[in-house]
Amino acid sequence: MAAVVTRIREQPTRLRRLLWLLLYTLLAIFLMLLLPQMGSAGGPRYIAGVNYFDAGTKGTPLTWAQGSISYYTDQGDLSPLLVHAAADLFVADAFSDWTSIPAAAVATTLAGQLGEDVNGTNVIANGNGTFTMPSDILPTAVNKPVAIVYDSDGAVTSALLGSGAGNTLYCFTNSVFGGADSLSTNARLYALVIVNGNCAQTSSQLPDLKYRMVRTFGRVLGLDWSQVNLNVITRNPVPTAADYAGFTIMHATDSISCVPISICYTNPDQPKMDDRASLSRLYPVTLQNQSNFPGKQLSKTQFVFIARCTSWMQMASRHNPCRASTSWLAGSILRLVWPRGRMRQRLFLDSCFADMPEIR
Amino acid sequence: MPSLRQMTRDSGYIFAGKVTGIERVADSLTADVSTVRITFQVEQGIRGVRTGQTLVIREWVGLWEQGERYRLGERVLLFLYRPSQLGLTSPVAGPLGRFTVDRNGKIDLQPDRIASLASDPAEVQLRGKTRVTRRDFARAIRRLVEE
Repeated sequence: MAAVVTRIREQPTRLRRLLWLLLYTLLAIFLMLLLPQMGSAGGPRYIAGVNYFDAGTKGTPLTWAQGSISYYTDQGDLSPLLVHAAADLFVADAFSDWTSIPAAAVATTLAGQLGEDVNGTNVIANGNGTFTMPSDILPTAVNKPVAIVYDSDGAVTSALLGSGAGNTLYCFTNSVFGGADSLSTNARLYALVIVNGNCAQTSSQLPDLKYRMVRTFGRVLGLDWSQVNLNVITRNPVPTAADYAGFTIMHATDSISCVPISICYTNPDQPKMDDRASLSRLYPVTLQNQSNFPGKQLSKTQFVFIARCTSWMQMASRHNPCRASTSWLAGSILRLVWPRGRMRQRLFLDSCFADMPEIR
Repeated sequence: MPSLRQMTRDSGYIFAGKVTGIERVADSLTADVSTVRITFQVEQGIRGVRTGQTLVIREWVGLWEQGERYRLGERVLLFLYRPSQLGLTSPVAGPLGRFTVDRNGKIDLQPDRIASLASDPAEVQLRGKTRVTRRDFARAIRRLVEE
């Protein structure tokens, strides 16, 4: 008699568990469908389409082949403060903010110099409506895939953007500009970056210059703008410390009151969680390429999406967030995403604690 | 940061208008540089152009790739640099020199723009407003030019 009573009492509990399981699974599926639509995180700047591109690349991001980028710098100085060698170090430092991301298989190399000091005398009008620039800063110069021009007096900036654009007054928008200029049928081919020397005249200008250079290099590497934590700018809702901490360097625009940039953000030139995750997705470290990138960690980019779901799950679980995310709920999602994903599922379970700090 | 006065000083063209044409001008020679040719129908000429005029500008294609783009039919108020020796121009101070014009012809002044405008005592007419008519905006700019 007692056993019968127990069974009757257990049945509603089991039923309730099943209903909760069903509810959470449906909610997870709903979020999986909804979150990509929101498109708030960073991502690739260019994705191969149907025309022009190789058939096999359709829908895939266009990145630098093998994640290896050789860049060439101007023969001249950037400014009296950053003469040629110092400017090269400055550029390398800015690139390293991206290349040091442990789970991104991307590396940059200063491969040499451009063939000239690019300045106002060799960026010239032809008189017939066309104009000429040195051949190694044109999109056709794929043997020098990334060209960095040190525009010491702002003349090149003014020539390309308009008369007066190179003045110090316009450093907020015109200190570093450019980006990918040419795409092949399956990868990036060429990028041009112009650095305005008028924005490197004093040491107080350098933090802002570096911030803008890192952002431009993010574009060169293939990242698009991100919309994560835009409430930092809109103030709606009022941003928390966590919102600031996660505010991407690849946000589209800054408030004009952010001069110098440090008054608005701490460590402004450092890629944040979403920036790092975005680059890792573009250039994943795999078993195949890991040997080319010594010290890099295998990417678990596939976990980033799940990790975002997990964040929600962690909020839902008061007691043991990892258990909540790695038990039946995570299993259900993983089985939906990867029907044969047992190995990945295990990696994900293992990485639940290990990866979250890295991603953050 | 440039004030409205400084932006006005460095502008070759200031106008509100509608984008009526966009054309990429490909390089014809190896050493040539591609540009984008943008045509505007000027609806309110303020500086350098007259109301009703058609204005054609050329932007460096790299800028277009960077995100400085226009759409056909889009209405904007632009402060444009004087064309360079290459004949190229772009909005003064990038996005700061570009204002959205709504269907009613009013210019949208975003909050941070308002802060910028308020920093200049001469820009009293625009201070504290979120939307102004093209005519009021033009009047304020002309006053800056005259002072």
